[in-house]
Amino acid sequence: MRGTWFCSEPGNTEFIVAKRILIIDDSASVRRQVSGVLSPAGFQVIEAADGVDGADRIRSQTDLALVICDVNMPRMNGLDMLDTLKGELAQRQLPVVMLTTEGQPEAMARAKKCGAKGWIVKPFKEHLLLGAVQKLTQSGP
Amino acid sequence: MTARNYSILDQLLRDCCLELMADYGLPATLATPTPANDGATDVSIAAIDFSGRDLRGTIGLRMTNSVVLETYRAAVGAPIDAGSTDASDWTCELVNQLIGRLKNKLRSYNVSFNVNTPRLLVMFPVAELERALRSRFVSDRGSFAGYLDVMIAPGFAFVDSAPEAPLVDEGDLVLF
Repeated sequence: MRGTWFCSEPGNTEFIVAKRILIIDDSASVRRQVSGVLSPAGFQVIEAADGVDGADRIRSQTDLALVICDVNMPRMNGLDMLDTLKGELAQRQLPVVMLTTEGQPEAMARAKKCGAKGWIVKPFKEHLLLGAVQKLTQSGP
Repeated sequence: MTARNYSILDQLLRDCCLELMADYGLPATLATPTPANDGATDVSIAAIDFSGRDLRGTIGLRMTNSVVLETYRAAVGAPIDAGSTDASDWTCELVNQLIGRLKNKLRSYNVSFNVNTPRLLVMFPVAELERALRSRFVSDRGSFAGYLDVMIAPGFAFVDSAPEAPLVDEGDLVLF
């Protein structure tokens, strides 16, 4: 099991597993931006660049705590990826938050129907993203 | 009807450009007149295509590199080099956010469209944007311009309509 070592006091080292978050976005800048918010809060952030890559990471990483996913991406968009994986996501109770420039109610309704737990319109407010991640992963890292 | 359509799109483009940059700490003012090419060479340009029942076309965003670097620093909290892969990626992300704003504003007119993925343009002037609606802005960190090359379906006219669902604005979070 991967994790992060924290030394709470001299001589007393404990092993705390940082919750792992997958950010799927074709923009490396946005991935870096998200990582810059979540990593200092103790989350471990891994990345994927489109829906195909993201689906692969979700299937191979069985210890994910949450997925943050863009909508408009090359190869496979975020909503199609969600549709493809909705059964697996539900079975694993893996929450997904969409992070996108889109604010269309039809797209939001589709995401909700496929099991997404939240929707954030870019550019995001850091405290709202962090708050949502902490809430949906229950107790934070 | 046609003139009103273009007037509305022109105003929306201006609003979207100003709001986008303001969100990254870059207040700006409209520069008039707006030349097709202001001669600046240290610029980055990205465009994105869109298509829908009523509108289709291309939106572009042209920025001096200083604007790209400043907005990236505001967003990510780290510096990047002009002309780097990171700067190109951020240029594309900004035009992606620009079309997102336009699409969200057009909900007030019950207009929607599908959006392609952004592409970086390496040459300017770009033929496809020369005829476009355009607005140029200046800020104390550099200048930027928005372009909207749009085809409007015959007979279409913008009509104000209350959205069926509540509007979700940039920065908003909705938990289901």
